[in-house]
Amino acid sequence: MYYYIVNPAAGGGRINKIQDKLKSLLKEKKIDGELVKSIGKNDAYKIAKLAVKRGFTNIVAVGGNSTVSEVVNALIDAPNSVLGIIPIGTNNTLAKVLGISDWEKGVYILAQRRIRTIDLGKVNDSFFITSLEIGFETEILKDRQNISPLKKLTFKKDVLAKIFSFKPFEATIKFDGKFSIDSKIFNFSVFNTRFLKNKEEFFLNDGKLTSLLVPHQATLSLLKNFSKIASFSYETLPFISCFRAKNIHIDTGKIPQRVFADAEYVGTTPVEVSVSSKKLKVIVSKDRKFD
Amino acid sequence: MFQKKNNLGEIETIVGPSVNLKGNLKSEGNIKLKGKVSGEVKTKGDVFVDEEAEVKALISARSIKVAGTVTGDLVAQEQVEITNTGKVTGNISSQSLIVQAGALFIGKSTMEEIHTKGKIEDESIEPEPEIE
Repeated sequence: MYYYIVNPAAGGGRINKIQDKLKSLLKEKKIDGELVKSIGKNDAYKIAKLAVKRGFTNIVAVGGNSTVSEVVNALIDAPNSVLGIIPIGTNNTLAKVLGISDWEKGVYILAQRRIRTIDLGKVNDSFFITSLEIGFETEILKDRQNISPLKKLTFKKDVLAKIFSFKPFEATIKFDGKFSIDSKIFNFSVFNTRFLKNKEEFFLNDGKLTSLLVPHQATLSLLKNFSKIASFSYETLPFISCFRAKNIHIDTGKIPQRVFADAEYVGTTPVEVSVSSKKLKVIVSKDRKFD
Repeated sequence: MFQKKNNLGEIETIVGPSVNLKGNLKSEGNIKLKGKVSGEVKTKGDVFVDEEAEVKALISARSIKVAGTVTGDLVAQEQVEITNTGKVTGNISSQSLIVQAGALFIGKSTMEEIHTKGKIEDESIEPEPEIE
């Protein structure tokens, strides 16, 4: 039996336009079930917890990054549960990694039930599937939570303005308790993936995290690499550092920095990031970005 | 080895410029050092010490290429190469050693050759004060 948790605010209320079509498609594919709407922040988390208690094993997040993130965190201690995603949010990063490009495709993928077990990253007490960000990118993410179509058009202009206003920060980062780095940082990312030959390769079950550090640069150098920064393709920058580890401790001293995981705010530094011993079963597409 | 590739091509770890690393850096893949490193660097892959790097560490790897400054011993299963900008103060142990004209090497080099019938005796070279 499937249990659908719908975020009615996702994608600017997109569910209102597709609701009838979605319901009939789910019925047609014989995967219809209970459909519940969340009301506010953390509601999807609470609803998913209750659904597990009631014995549902197929929990489907119908929304964007924030809805999926809440449901992921609710399923951590439910090893028999399987996560499904129907992306209708403004930002659907997680769905894209799993190969789910739109809501209709999401329904077909659910019906096919191709299940994979993946590693999860852990930051303090929260879990994430794809990445964690500290620094410049959080400046962009904090404004992207309720991004309007008009804002999307001015996105590059906003990024440019933030390059000029962003203040880099000093940090000490320890890896697996074995070595540490000190640096003045522009952006620091932790990926539940790795990078090969200049492109992101998703190995969501190799037991390690990849850190990418973009150090403080002169504004001219940042502007020269503007297109890479605006597309968050840090791995293509010439001045990055890259480390692989299971545990990462990030301390920014007296100036705490915002931390986002799976594009959602999770707290401030200092933080402990690790590969969780808990894994997650997810329904994926054959077009997913990992094995 | 050491084919020229874009940033992360075949490289698992990069210590970038303006980064200061302390401790034991252990990896399975290739490592590129561009910043300051002190401690120990150990990998099953290759290590490349970039021109701007300042390394005070023991480096153990399959092959090691030094274009920057290293103070510490180098232990390579295969080859050590010091380029014309490289400076090494420390002992080197490897199967083969290339020191380009213009390089600086202060230390002792021990070269081992492995034959199909087994190891032959180590061939040691007395300390050479400087090769430039």
